Amino acid sequence: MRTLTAASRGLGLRPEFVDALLDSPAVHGLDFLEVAPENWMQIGGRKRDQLDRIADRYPLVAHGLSLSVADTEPLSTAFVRDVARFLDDYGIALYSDHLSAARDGTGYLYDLLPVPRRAENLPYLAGRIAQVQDITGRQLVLENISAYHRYPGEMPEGAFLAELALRSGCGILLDINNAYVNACNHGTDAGAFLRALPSDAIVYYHIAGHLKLADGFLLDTHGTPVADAVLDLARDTLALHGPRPLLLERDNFVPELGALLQDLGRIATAIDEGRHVLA
Amino acid sequence: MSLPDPVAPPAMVAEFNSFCMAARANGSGLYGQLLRENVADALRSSFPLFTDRVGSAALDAEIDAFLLRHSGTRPQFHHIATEFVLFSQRQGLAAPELTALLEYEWALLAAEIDPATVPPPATTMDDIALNPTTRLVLLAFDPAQPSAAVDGVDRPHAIFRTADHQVLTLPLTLPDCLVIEHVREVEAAPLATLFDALAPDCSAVELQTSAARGLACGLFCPPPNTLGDSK
Repeated sequence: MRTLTAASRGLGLRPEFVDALLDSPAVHGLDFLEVAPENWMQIGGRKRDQLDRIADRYPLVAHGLSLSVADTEPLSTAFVRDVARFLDDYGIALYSDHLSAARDGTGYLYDLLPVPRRAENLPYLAGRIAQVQDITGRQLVLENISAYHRYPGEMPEGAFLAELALRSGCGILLDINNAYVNACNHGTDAGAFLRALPSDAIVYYHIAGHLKLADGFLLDTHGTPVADAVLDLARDTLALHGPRPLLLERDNFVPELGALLQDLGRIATAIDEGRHVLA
Repeated sequence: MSLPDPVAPPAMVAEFNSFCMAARANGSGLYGQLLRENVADALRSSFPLFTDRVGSAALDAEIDAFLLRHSGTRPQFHHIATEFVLFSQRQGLAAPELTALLEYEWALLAAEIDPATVPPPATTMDDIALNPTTRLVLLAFDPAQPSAAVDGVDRPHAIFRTADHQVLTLPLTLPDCLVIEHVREVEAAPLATLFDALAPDCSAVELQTSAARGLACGLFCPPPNTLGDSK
């Protein structure tokens, strides 16, 4: 197992820059890479070969999309076992996914869907997290999603996540952009969300860009540079909870690796030094 | 032994399923749009020929039907493509030639990511086996020109991944098909035994040509038990 430090900086591994990573020795300023386990496990050929070589050069963390831990159907234990095998094969200690669901009573929908945040749902969700942690032999780390739907009368997101972490022992992957997007779209207070979270449960941070639609609504697209306002919120986050490994997500309009690393460095510096960068 | 499945509160089930059903049924709501865009992106990426040929209006209609009526069972997001092929086959949504194109592109994808390890080619060998990533398909079109008009005649092809990760589509002759069938049945066969077994059906020249061509392009390879361990 490989461990990260609070100063570690990482990128989500994208096919767009796999070849560039493999063409050079380990890149300065890139401390770890994040992979979606389901996009690599039980897959052979060129992708497997590439991942094997990348794993020789960089520490990996796993960030899934397909766990659907918060859905209301029986957990796909076969899938979780496959994930566990993948984590073991690559010596990955840190496994995260999203506090969301991707399946209803009909079947999988293949998106990160919000579930109702109600106190009476917490024991069920804590039980689901326990199932995953039992199978993987690891703490499950859960990310706050960008949710474009709210159920009436829900608990505040921060309080819900904090209570779930307390009951289940799960970690929190704090996505700072998602916190900003939700606050803007739903008219809530991002600061209150941050203050509700227990510092000791926060394992690492995500930061990303979003798209502002004509009507002002924000979409979490991971396709633009990180906004100044999100950097401001990141500084508040670090002041409140302290430094953690930081990962830049860029999944659309992915620039060249060099430009992406420059962005990552600038973001880290801006957060650390408290000055604005990036338009 | 795994922990028992907790049971979701009935109110949570009802509330969440109601939200999901609205997203499945209503393509104009935000989540309805996001679901449809996810499926469309996956299909365009996995099946470029099919999505190009079917046209955007028909594709939208098929995605609507997929979201409304299909029960996806594979958790992995990248299995949208496989789930869509299954749905399309069962529902008979597309014209037969479009379904054939969809299945062809799925076979390419499946060979590309097949978890099997492909042995490197060997220059000399006693035994041969079928490349473990091989998919056998009948195509009524020329895979080198899939947009050309079809003649309605199904011809056998092998789709497989080589040891250096190229995905190839190889048209098969009758001797090719016989050799493949025999090698699959016995898992691995000495060439001499293979030729003896198929002598009543093909000439020695036909069999030698088929074996040599298959070995050269990677359709045939050394059997797994002649290789060292791999990760």
